[in-house]
Amino acid sequence: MIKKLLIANRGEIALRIHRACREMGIQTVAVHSKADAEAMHVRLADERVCIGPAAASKSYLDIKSILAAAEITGADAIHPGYGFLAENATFAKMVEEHNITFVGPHPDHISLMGDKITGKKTVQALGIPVVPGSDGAIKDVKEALAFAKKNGYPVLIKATAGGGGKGMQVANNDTELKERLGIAKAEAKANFGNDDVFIEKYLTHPRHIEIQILADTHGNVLHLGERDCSIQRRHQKLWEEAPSPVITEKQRHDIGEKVVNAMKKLGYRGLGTIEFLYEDGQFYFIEMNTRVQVEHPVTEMVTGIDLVREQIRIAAGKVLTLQQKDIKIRGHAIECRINAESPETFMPCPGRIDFNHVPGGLGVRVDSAVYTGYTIPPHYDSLVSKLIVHADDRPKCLARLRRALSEYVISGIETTLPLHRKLAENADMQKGDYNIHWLEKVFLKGQ
Amino acid sequence: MTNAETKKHTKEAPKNIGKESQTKADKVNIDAAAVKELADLFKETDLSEIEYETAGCRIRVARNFGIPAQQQFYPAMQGMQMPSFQSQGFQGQGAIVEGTTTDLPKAPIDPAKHPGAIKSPMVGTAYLSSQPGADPFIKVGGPIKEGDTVMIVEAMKVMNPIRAPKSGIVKEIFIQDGTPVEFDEVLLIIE
Repeated sequence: MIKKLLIANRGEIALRIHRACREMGIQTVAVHSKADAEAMHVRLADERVCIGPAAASKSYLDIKSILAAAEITGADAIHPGYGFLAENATFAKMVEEHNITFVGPHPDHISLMGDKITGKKTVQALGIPVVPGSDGAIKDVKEALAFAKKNGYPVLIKATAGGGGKGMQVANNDTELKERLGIAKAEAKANFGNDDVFIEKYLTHPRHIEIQILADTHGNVLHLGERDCSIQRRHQKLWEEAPSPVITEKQRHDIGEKVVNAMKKLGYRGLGTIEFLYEDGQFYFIEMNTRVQVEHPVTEMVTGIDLVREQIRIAAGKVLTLQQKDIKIRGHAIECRINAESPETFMPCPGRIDFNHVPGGLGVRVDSAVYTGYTIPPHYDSLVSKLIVHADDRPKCLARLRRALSEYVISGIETTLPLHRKLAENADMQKGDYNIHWLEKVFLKGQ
Repeated sequence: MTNAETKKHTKEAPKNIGKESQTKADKVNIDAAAVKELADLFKETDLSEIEYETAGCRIRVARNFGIPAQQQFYPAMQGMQMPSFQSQGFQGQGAIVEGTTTDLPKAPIDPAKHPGAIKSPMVGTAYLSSQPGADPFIKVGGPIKEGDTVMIVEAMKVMNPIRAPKSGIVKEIFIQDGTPVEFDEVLLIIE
């Protein structure tokens, strides 16, 4: 078993990993930048090593320094958390080459899923549904019309060399498709010097639904149900829940089984999340995250499984003790991401927390590394805290969330707490009637 | 909860309280002269805390003496600033262990603030000579020229020479041969 684990991360996830280790009797090493000498996980860890200046590129992203710290402390495992080096295949490979256990998947699987096109092709071949699209560039209008006929309107025309929305056109019928194919090609040519375009089915009101999986090195794969992360702003999730308000038991079982079979065939190990867009009863693969997710606590609350603990056990080569039939989704959980940002403009707001009062009581969990008197450094992301509530059903969970949000005080900096208070009161949110565009296009516009 | 309620909470919450002196008085009406007088009284009496109250105004002046603090966590609700731990460096070959830090006061002169301090540019293992058994690069009291190698820090099997940024005399060496060093840890002082 692992004796000493180096946490190659910071903030709440570093503390989360430390907590799992402490309960498992594993010693922890906190590596930190100059800006994080006062951080909570650094204070609590058994050992601490300063690995560089505040800039992440010279500390948390500096592979050489992290490995040197593992060497001088004699750590036998490294947990990368999320972000930073968590999905860096080179890092994972180097860790293993130093005979240190990497708490994560095989480096090859990290690179496979890191490349979005290869990742999509791979999972499609393994039986996971993807957004229907033309195989490569569209040759002519005839091919485009045939595709639309087969898959239905609307369709999205995209430049193969594209990015940033350039050369992208939506068509709702044959006439529009004929017309906009030409426009898209011209835009693609003008922007990228290449007029190749491809077509895919355009989802107008999808939800973001993701499936959590857990795979050991002995061929056992489990799925732990879904999380609904449709409340997003600029692709940043702000509110996540499990189970999704719209997914049925049968749908959960069906997509879960597809994902489990695919991961078995792939030989994947560790924690993984398969992200989908979901519209009108259909799932469409977006990408796979080969690491622990920020929103993992909602799954923990409804399944009762400590995901970080399982992740470490798997890395140590242990066998999963649970079987799929043991996985039960109990009640409902919601997580609010509380960021150091203006709740109106979303401008980051680093600074000193003058007072921090976290809510408590039954079914309330706060994953946060801040404390009264802590100064949020300006160098890293703005996540201050994750408030997670759990209750028997969704209405009770929302009531508990409103109660917990009303107790929560963070002063000295601006946070998104007021936004969450409004969301928790909102009528659409009560009904679970939202999609990935709802927050920006409906809720924030109405503010 | 409404915003107004939040603000109320905020107001009641303890304000930023400095470590060296703590005052609780009406925001504007701090009697600077009184504080000064109390501070002077400190020096004379060697007290660590004085509290003084008159109608509508209370002044508390406190200072911390060097009590080697065990690593201790004050409940956040107290509104106190947590003890600030100095980067503790490594103790010998072994790794540092919780509870080895001292809170206040700092050593008479903080070596990190010394203008002639040479700090480690990386985390790794420091060596004082080019190979085991060889003469060390530097000696306390010995002269040193700008650009001379003063130590080697090994990180991931790569030997990184640490060079003197200026000429002078080696005043103090803080590192033993073969010991781990952190980023920014003071290796030696040149004067």
